[in-house]
Amino acid sequence: MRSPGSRLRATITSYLLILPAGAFLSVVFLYSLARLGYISVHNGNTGLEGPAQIDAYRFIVDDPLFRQAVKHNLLLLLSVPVVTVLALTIAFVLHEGIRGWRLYRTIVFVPYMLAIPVLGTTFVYLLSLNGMLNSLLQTIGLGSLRQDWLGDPSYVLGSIATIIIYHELGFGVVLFLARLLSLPEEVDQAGRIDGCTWWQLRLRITLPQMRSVIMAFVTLELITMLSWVFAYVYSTTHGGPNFASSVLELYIFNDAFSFQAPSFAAAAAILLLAATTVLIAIQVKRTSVEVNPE
Amino acid sequence: MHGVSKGARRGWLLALALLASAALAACGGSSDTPATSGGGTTSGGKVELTFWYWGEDDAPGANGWLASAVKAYETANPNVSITVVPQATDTFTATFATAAAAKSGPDIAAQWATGPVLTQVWNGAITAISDLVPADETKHWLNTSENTYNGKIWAMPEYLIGVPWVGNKTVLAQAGISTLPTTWPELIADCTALRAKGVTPFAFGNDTYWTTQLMLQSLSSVDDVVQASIGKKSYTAPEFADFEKGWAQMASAKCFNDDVSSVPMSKGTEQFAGGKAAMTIGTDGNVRAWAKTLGEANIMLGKWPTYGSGPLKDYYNATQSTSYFVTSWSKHQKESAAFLVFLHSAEQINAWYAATGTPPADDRFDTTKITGAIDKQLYSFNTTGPQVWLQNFFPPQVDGNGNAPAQQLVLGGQGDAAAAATTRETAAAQWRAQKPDEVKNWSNFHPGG
Repeated sequence: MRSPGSRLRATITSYLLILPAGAFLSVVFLYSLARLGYISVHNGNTGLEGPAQIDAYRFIVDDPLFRQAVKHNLLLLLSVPVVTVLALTIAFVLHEGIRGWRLYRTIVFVPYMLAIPVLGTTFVYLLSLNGMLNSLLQTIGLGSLRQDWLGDPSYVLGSIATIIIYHELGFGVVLFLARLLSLPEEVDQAGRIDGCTWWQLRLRITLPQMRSVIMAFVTLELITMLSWVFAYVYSTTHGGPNFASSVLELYIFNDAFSFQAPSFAAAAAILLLAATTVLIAIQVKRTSVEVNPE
Repeated sequence: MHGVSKGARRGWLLALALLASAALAACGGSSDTPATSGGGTTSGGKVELTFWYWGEDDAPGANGWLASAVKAYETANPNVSITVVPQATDTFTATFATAAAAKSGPDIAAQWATGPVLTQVWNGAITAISDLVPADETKHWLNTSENTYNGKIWAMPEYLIGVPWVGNKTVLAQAGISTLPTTWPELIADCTALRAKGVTPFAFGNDTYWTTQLMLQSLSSVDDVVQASIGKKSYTAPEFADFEKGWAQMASAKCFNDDVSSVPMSKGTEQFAGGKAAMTIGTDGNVRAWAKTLGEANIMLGKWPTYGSGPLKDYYNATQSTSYFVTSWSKHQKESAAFLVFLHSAEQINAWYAATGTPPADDRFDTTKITGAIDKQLYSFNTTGPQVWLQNFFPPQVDGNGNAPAQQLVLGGQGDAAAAATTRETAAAQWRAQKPDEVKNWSNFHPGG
């Protein structure tokens, strides 16, 4: 048994070992965050021009463009269950060991490796009114379904959500497939012996074993939809038409870079961080309860 | 089982927090970007100048020309060393604003004319070029009125570009049309005739916001726009709003390519470049490129058709686009100004034209060097009569949040002229509420014209 003295020494040693990394992270992340908070309540690009005359937080919360951007981010969250179910389904199918499954896995994963602006530019050509999708619909006699996917405010957000799903799908498939490959086969075999159908096996035996990885994926996708969709929007619509695809990151970008309003950009960024943190905390809490109910 | 331990949970939370912080720091970090120091003097008395340059997007070949100009200047002035830092289009305004806030950065910089330049004048970041360069030099520079404020010229023009109305003779002829429209009713009639022949009358895109230029034809003065932005007038008043009806008429008459709402200008005008659309508008550089692909003889140029009846209706829309200036913190303001003057020397303006094909903004330019018919016509448009590019006179925020969505509303058929005007007015009201200091500065700005 270790003495209290040696335990204390071990504890001190542990803290000393993580001190450099902790200091580095504090400087890089916490300082940046503190600066952001400071700028949000001060004038000027560096916050050196005195306290702000306008409450940036109150202003942006009342700003219809900010509210519209928030609404769009929230709507994009609806893509999370879609991409999760799709990725799971594809992973299950590939896990069945169908011929050429490794090739299919690679094909599904390729979009995830592409730079988002490349994807965005490609989809502008695919989804514009005279793009490939509408031409295809016309060719197969479904011309009535032809739409201005990126130019019509009714469709543009859905189109962007589709591009995001296309990009994120590969990540989900690879993640879920890796988990599936690591599951013990005995449990599956026991289920089969007990007469489970394929669906029963997947829903009642496989899915519960994958819960932690599914929750991790969902959490990452929630972060993506809230905080990492700028590149998709910027490379396809720049938030248009008429702000119909504007998102919070674009709002922040415009205030920071186009309109020289750093305090407003910083305030919006702080609010985005707060919203993301709350959402993620709820999700992580839920995950821990579901995965570890005791 | 696959339980998540308490420690792992903490680690997971920390990782998420760090990810979010990193993303946000990236968003807000630009404000803290340290400015590059410039304007140093070595112990040997050598003058080191830093030039933050932008121009290549407007005039391809500009970067190469400047590199040669710097080399020539350094050879002639061995005590001067100039470092050129090309700027990115999306960020060069913000990058300079950061430098201006810290009052540290380049000796010479570029910003777009009028609004962006004057914003930095009001920030105290620019030394008037007319205080550094004698009047017998600046009198040769063209369009200096775009950056004239309080009786001083604040920045130097290098070139002029306009946005003419362009036609393809062969395509127009398919509908029996031999001249470009000079009035809006003629334009709408042309659109109808061209559509009847299955031709796209006018190729356009949704990302330039150039449609606002037509407002000029209904205004009494350019100052009207400033007055509307600062709230002394309203963008919903007929003189500011009616021009949108012109674009709405074009949309109703199916003048535009049917995908105008979903493609950028570069893609929208491909139809014109490919000989499938009859008309479009574009910069001088665009016109030169189209003349190469479609044949110079096939290109027809004109000023925009008349829609409004205000005193400015015949003004053309050429602008210096980008302006170059000496920063207020530069330790070598005279040397910096001397280099800018060098860029207007006969040798350099000729070299500029040879490198870019874009005429320099200088009345000493030997116009006999312009040989092509298209180039001659473009130069004539750009240098004859009064010139106003109206977008320069909008605060950038009103331009971005007002003019841009207003154009998208009307062209996409999702809103009428009144809705577009309301969008612009709302953007102006937001700007006034958000930027009282800027409003105060703009209130002291009274452009002529």
